[in-house]
Amino acid sequence: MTVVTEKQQSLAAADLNFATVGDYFQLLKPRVMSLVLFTGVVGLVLAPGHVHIATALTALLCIAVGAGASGALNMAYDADIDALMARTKFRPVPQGHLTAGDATAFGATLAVGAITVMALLVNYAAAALLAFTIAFYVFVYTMWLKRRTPQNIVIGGLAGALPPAIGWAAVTGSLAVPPLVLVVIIFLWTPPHFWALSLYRAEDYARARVPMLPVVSGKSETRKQIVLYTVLVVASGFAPFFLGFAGPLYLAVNAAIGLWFVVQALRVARERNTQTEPQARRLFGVSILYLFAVFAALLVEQAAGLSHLAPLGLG
Amino acid sequence: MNGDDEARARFERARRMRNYAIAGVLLFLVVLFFIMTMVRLGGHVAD
Repeated sequence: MTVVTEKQQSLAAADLNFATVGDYFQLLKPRVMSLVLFTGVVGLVLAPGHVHIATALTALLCIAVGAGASGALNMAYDADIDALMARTKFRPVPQGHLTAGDATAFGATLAVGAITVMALLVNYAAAALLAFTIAFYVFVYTMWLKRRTPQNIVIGGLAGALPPAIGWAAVTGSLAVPPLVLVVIIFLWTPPHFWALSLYRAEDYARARVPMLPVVSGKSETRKQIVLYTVLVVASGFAPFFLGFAGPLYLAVNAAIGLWFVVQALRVARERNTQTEPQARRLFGVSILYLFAVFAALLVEQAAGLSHLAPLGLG
Repeated sequence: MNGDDEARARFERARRMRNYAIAGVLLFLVVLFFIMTMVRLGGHVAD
């Protein structure tokens, strides 16, 4: 008969559950969260009307926590494939710092908390959009599309595109054309951004059997699709100006950095070094810069009173 | 200090830090709900 001491039980528990605060923070995908938060800020600031600063900050907190919850639930479900890929194998769940169950409980708690706080302290429209965004990312993208189709990040990109609409709804309690145009821009931006990554991580995705476009259709087809979507996103980027809610600064930024984005996509299309894919790595960075720049231009115009939209009143 | 003691110390430190983090989040929520209640009541507290 084996006698299990209290100390042994405690150590067994420690082996199973040795997660630090840092591990839980990593589950939130902080870098993704920062971009989501930034686009949410733009939607909120562009919205007409008046909102108290505390309400605005609460809405942004809920958007950030909702994004983090989505990341945690994604890491819980994808722990098996994360363990196979060099880019993701050091995440807390594949490293064994916490179990998939821990990550699920953490993510679900944050998701419910963020939606509830948004509903109670901001408004129901923003809460409903946040709930839809989290559900779409977890159930549609992570659990359904990611392992089944090379269109995974095209359709799944909707979840990452919605934060400007949530920010807008937090102020107005409804939706309108401007936030939906911003959603379309991010939606079209997502494929070239992630396909650039998948070009230089193609072996990783193949090892994990994730059907990203380079794995399923080949790198040549991926390069063509990157150029197509880059042209589409830059073209759609002119819409805010022609629809009247962006000014000349935005137009100049979209034209200049959009041109750089397209040129870089064409360089990826002509890439010969298919091992290290230096142009795709560069495109990944340029794509982030493009999105940041055009959204920052909207913010600057609004702050400077150059926008045609009524300024947001912060109490 | 042997290996088991070190592992136990690390585990207890991690657990303590997690508890502080949870307490911090709960305290933050209390403050947030208080502030938002004041914001929503606005100047009508005495009505």
